[in-house]
Amino acid sequence: MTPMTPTAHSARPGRSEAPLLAATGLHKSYGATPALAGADFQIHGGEIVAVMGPSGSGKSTLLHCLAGIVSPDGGTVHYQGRELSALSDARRSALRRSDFGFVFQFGQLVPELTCLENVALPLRLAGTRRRDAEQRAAEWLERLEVADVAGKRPGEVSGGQGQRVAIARALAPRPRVVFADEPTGALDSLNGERAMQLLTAAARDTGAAVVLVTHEVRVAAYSDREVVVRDGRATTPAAAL
Amino acid sequence: MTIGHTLLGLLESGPRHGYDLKRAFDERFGQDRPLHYGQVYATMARLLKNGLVEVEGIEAGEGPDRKRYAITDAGVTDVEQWLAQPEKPEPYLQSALYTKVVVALLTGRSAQDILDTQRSEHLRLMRELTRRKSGGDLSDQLICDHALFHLEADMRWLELTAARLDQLAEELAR
Amino acid sequence: MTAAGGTLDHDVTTAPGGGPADGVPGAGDRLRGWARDLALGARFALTGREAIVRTLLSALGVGLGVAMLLLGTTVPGLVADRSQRGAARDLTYYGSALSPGPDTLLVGEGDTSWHGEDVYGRLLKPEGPAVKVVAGLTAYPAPGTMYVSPALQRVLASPQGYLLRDRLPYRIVGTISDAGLLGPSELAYYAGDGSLRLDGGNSSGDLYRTNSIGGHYVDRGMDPVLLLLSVVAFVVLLLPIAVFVATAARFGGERRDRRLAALRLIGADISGTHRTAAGESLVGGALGVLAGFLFFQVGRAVIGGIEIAGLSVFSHDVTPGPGMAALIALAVPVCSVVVTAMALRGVAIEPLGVVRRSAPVRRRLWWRLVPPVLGVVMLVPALQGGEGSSNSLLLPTGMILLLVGVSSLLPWLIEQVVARMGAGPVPIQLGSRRLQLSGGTAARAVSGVTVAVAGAIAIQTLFAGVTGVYTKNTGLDPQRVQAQLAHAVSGSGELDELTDRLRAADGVLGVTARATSTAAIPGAPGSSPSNWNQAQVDVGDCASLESVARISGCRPGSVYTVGVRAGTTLDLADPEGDGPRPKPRLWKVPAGAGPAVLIGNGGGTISDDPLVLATPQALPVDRINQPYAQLQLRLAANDPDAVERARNAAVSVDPTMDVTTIESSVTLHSFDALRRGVIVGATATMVLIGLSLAIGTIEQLRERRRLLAVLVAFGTRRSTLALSVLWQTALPMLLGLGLALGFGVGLGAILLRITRSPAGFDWTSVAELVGAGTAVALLATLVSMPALWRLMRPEGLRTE
Repeated sequence: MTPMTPTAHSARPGRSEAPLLAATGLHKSYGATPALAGADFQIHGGEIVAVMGPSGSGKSTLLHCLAGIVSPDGGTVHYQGRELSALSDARRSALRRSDFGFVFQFGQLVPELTCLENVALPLRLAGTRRRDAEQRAAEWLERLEVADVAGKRPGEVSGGQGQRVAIARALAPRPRVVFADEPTGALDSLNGERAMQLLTAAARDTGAAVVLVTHEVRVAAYSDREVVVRDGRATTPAAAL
Repeated sequence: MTIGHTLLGLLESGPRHGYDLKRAFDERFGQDRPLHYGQVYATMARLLKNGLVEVEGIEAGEGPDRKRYAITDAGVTDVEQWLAQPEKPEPYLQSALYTKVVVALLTGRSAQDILDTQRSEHLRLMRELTRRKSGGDLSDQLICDHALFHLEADMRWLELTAARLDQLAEELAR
Repeated sequence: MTAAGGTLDHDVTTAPGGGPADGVPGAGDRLRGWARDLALGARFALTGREAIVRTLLSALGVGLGVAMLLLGTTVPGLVADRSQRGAARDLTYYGSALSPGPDTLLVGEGDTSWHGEDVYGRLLKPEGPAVKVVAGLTAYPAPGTMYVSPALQRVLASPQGYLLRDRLPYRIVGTISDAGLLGPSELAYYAGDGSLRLDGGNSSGDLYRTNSIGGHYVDRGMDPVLLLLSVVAFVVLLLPIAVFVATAARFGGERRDRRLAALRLIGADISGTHRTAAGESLVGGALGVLAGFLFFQVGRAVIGGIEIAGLSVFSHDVTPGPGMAALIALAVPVCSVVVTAMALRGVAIEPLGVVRRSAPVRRRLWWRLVPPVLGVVMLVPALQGGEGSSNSLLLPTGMILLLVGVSSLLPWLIEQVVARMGAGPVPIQLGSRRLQLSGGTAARAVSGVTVAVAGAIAIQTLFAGVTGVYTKNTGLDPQRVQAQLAHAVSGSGELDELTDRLRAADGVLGVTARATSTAAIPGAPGSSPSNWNQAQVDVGDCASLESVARISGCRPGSVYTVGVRAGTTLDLADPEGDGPRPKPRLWKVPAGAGPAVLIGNGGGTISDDPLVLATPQALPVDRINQPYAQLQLRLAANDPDAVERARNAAVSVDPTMDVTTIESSVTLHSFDALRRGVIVGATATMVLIGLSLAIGTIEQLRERRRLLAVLVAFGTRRSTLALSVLWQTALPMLLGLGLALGFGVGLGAILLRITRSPAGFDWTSVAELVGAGTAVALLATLVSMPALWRLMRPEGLRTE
């Protein structure tokens, strides 16, 4: 094994321009259980950051706070300089429709809609006309190599295909940030690898930043850098500097 | 793994005779390969020459056994640098890492930092391999995957060890 | 491999599955195996918080249904008890003339009204010591005192009751017990009146002599049309309940299926899992029966305090027959098991999960058409035979089949319509697609409401049609007069006093008064008086005469006739009954009598007989035989107490007189009660079904908690999801109501044909019912909204 030099992709958190999405001092508890206890996080445009940590460490909660799905008990989240918690619920929803995309581990496709309709759904929610939305959805399905399942319902496709449909759905509205919470958690290694390759490639093509929550190192290896959440705090391991 | 750094680390807790050093080493790390006396004296001689240890006192009697070694400031710095330097990710790494973790715990340094540093280094390599894999042909992919899976195993060990540091510290304190 | 799989299936039937695998299972073993499966199911139903909640929901649904059923079975007893008490206080005497004796009682009918509510009143004067005491009393009231019902006592004690206190100037000495009342809120009194006097004959006007205290109730049998209405009402109320019980037993079906799949994994065979499922729903059914009896007890206690549209019921009258109660207690759990078995038919429970036929079998139309078509066929004999043949079982069975047709056609209809949808805005797309996959569930949920609406429309249509036959047109115009009084008077003195007192009453704007009698037109000499023609004689001032006929130039002394030639001689002493002919009292219609044209709607009874209208100057009131006063009152429009003051004025002349308000039509009472019953029942049923609809929606939302959270994550508006839920509920409901409208109107038309009633639809009622159904759907959606809001929180993402 020859040592490798860092390539241009290896983004550096210390660079000068303002981060796209930044959280400082996040606190969040569910009942008496603290999920986040002063977590900090930053991501720049086009960057892929893996959020790692043991189960129950608060990874998913961090993602939910960053995406404005959950309001933190303390601390702030800034997206493009705007503070998320200052926005109304409706504005945050609108922001999620226009600027964010989501991939989850499972149970995310509407079982009644066809795969094509599922991919078109966020586009339509954002106001795109049905015909245009479905045309773009078809292009994305093609790009993720699942054009053949367009007319099938999620219950009729394999796990790997379903996850690619979900990735297509997350990317179709051309979001600035994609939030992926254990996107390969329910997949075998081959399908997981392929899904990650397609996700990261598409994200790099479209310039989307990716917040990748995972406990799998091989998945995290698709990132530019990693953040470890431990006991509700996010740390950037020193050696990455 | 370097015996020199390990012996230096052991000396940090206090001056010892060469014989005691060997015993301490064997107890902690020498399960499969106990040190020869010769190795200890040769190593100590090198460290002495480099100014990392000094002879604190020679007791009356015969043989090299009578020398008491103590670590110098330069020696402490050397241990520090050694611990902070991540190992080059490669198979069968754990004995070196394990030694570092134990030495860190014995000398009151943060073993967690060592593991985190190593983690980042591993991940850095895994990123490179992943990138190479994405651009390469099937044979590249297969070769890279082999390495990736081994590195992943190391990472699991790192995570598991990180989770058991407290337990390990307790055992060492006994 | 297939063979191996087949044998495997048999081999695995060991553990909780069923009989032992080796050899032929003995009957005892099999029985024990069955019991074990059932017990396992029962344990599932009661283990874990979710299971318990689901079981309780199901029990609640079944319980409400059972309570309704029990309530339904009490109706015959209720009616019987009511009429029994009516008979127990009946004082009517039917025999030949009685002379005063130790056991005779003089009765004056003192019925009156109080702001639209009937007041049952009797003035009593026992003529001897041996008169049996009427039901509800302990003794006869002494003159000047009265017994009152508790409800009347409350009215009299209220500040607004002063007018009624003036009318009933008797001292209250006691209350009438329940045995003497039709219902707890009936207004009734028994007053002692020493002034009652009966000279000759057995009765005079509202005064009669009797020795029959109670027990003269004669069951006249039910009018065939009323019987038909009752049958229709029963079917209409019962069917939706049955549908409701069926859906209640299926709460939480999807979760149960998954659990059964887990059972299959550890080796249960298919019939074993079915038995386990049966055991599970049996618990819900049995608890439901218990809950039902409990609800019924509660409802029974509550019902005593409730008065719906003038009807009140004693709690102790609401008693189900023991046989029916036992039947319900047994049949309902059995039904819940049967429903479960039916539900499992379309599901293949495999060890690794539930395989619902993902592409469900296309619903075929032909067998769904069988029930309604068969229903129509069964109605044909009744159609041809008329209402007389409505007693047979064919009619209700045909109706049931026709109404069941609504629920059998609905899933097909929904599938047909929904298959063409999926375009349109996102909420509609989501809702439609969901219906495409599980239209059956949706159809089941709303079929109860649609059956209720279809039935209610049919019965309303029948009501509307029959109303024409059963409503007597009073021929009165409430625009011209608002109240009337018709009562026998002793002569001109009493008539004038009555008229004056009424005119003096506050709020009475005008009174016209006529005294009416009958006279004979003597035929040829020697002819039998019984063959003589009759003429009605009306005596009144010009204004009074002009209120019933168009006459010209009326002044005191004028006479007008209809069908009687001027100069005709009348015998005013017209005989009553079969008695010997009294001495003739001849009167000659003056030669100058002018013609009159009757105004049909003026007021009071105008017979078809020849008629003489005379002013008192031409024919004094005291000359006519048994003058019958007919007074029309004009009342101040916005003074509700005016009629009460008029009543007081009338009663001050004679306590048996009553002033009645005028309606343009009068609906028969028994008919009205039935109509009320159906409306109350249909509303209650729809509310019940709305509740189950809401529970179903909430449960469905809960099962989709994670998906909802994901949808929220990518920025779905709550309104979008709320609209999709609304669409998902509203579309089946709209289709169902459309179907209900068609079937209801169709069935109504058939029933109208059977009763030979004129075709005519009460579109207002139909619109109301459809509106009520829509409201139920909307309400059910609304009720589920808090759950949707709650479930759309991102916490749903955490459940893993």
